[in-house]
Amino acid sequence: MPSLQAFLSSARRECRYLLGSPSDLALATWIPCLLLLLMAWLFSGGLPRELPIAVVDLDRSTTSRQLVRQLEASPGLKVSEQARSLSQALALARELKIYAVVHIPAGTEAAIQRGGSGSVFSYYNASYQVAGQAAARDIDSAVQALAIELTATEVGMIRGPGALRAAPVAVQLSVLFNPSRSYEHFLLGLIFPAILHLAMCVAMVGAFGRELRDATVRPWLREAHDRLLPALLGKMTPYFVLFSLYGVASLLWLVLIRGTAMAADEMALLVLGQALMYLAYAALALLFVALTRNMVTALSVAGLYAGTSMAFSGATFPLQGAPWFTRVWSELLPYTAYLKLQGQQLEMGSALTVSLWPLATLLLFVLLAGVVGAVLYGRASRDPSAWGLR
Amino acid sequence: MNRFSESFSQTLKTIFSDRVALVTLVGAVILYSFFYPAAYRHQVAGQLPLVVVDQDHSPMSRELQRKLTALRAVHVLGVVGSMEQARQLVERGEVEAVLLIPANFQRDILRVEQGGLALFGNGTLLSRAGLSMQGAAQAIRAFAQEAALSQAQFAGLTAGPALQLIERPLFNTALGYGSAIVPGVAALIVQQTLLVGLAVVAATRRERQGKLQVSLPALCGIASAFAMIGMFSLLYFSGFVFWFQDYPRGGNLIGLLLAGALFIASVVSFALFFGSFFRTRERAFQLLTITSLPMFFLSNLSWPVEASPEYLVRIAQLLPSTPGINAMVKLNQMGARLAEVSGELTNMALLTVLYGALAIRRYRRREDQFSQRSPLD
Repeated sequence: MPSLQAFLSSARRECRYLLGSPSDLALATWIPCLLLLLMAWLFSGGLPRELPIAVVDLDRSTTSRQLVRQLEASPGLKVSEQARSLSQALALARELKIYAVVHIPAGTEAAIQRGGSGSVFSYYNASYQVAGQAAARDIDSAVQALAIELTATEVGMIRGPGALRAAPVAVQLSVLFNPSRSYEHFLLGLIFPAILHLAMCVAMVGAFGRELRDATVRPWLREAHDRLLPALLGKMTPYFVLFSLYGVASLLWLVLIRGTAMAADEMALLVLGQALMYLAYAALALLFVALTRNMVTALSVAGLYAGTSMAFSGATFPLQGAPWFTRVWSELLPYTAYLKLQGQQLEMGSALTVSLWPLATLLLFVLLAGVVGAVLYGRASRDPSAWGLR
Repeated sequence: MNRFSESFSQTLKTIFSDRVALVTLVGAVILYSFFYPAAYRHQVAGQLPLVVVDQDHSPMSRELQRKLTALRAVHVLGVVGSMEQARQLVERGEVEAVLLIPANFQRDILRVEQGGLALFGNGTLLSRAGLSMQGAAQAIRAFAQEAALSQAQFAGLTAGPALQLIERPLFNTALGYGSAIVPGVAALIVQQTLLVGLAVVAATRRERQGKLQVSLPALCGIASAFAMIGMFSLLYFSGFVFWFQDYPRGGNLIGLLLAGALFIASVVSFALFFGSFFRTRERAFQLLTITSLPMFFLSNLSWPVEASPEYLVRIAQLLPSTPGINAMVKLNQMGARLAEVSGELTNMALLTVLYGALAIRRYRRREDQFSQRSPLD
């Protein structure tokens, strides 16, 4: 079994190298783990609660005080400032002391009593979108709640209960599949695989690129009886095993914070998807190194390609209506395919048949990038002019 | 002064003759400045693709469907018979939302009760669901009311809601997603390219000379050369790129220049200190590539600081990007006055002093007394 021997010798050689190089070991072990932990810690608060807002109450009426009480009762908000004027409140917003301003103009209560309808204003910070929109949503709910109450009492008293009816159509917003609207679950579900696939890609560029840079590619392949494919696979295996382990741990963490158990077959599909994703990025790393024959350039390419995955995946921002470049680029990322699979299996409990397509896409990346990368890397390994480039 | 200017020009020469340093400090900045905003070129989340589940089959529900096709906020891909079918379409990613018109929709409206519609978004895409669904819901509500009103006027007088809420976004008034993210990312790109560029130059020097001993004036010369390049990148983003992408900008120009200079100063001190630990040119690339994403989230631009653990917020303040990103967004986009970013300014000034002092210590240490330790190779 010369292939197996070649594979094992290459894997052993890589492990020896890692143990002798603390910084390469760090980039494949504790640094990615530390980054995952930092992110898990950052979002451990779950939902944003008690976001500070300011109230500018120029009406100073029973109604306006009722509204302030309603806002204070909202768990998502904290009325931390009572400003005397709108400009004072906006200064607080620029300082980031508050994320939204509720402005109750003078005469609001009188307008309600006279004509049946008054207006209040909600100014929210759209530059800090998550916080600003969360505050705006809660302000909206608080105002709606008070509006219903007012309609029932004051307007009813003036015009008589017979005149009363609710708005003819209500639209209820709900979400499928992530009912708690947990940002922690949502964001970590994107960030964990984003960190891991990038770290895997960077580590693999290092591993493949190093042999060309240091002109050690011949001795390495000789040790592996000049069997290129087993040697490449053997080199990749330590990283593949490590990152798959981190991937499984991060999946378990996602299941844990969601609080509901997960079926074994769903978990198995996700682990398979993670494994394929790491294989795909290893194959792409091989391709980058083989194409550029220069470790630093390959690292730059990997950074551009895998470092911007989250922006282009369409998971944070829809790609409908995006220019063709953006949509095509998104499809060219294994991360996009993996996120589709993760959404289906982790959130929606889809059938296996639905998930075959993203799995096949991942496999296609592995095969295409792997074959082309291996052929080109093989050429570079025989061409001394490709060695030692910095 | 002589050693300062000599070192300054020598550093610039080194950068411009080192392909990698040049590609990082200039090439990467320009490449990312076009590439990154491309992900958000269309800016506002429009056209939520949805299917309709019509359980009412009434003239009113059909009228509503017809009107929906005219809405800009949604893109109706069809009508399906059941929620189960709609759910499968969501699972396959073909649609992102489902509008359910329940049975008795028309009857309820004609009976002067409230007709309820339910809009289901895909919760696995939370920020997308949030952004596009609110717009879609508002549009559907308006159209549905109009449709219902015109057909239900005989049913009696309609009292409007007693209290109306008028929402106004501040600062990023077009509600662009790119304009909320990219300015923060831009400051991070400036920081990371400076860090890599400086680390590459320092590591090369170390590879060739084996040690990093630099006199104080020479160190200042190196720092000034990098600060100048960093300032160019920062102004290129804050001026040209944000103008080209038509992001909100120029809120407080003087403040931006001042805070920008302080940000670059803190980044250069940070880079001088950390760059001294790298012994090979490639190492900085590897480390900074994988830490960029966490650094961005640690800046709390996309996640409210109030919802973050307090210790972590303090730790994040040790990174120049944390005050830098916030100060840049507040001054350039939100038009904050200098006093309104005093926290960030103090943070950056302290980091400049802290890392500057550490860097001076590091580069002055005698080789024969202490061999320079370098945990990163």
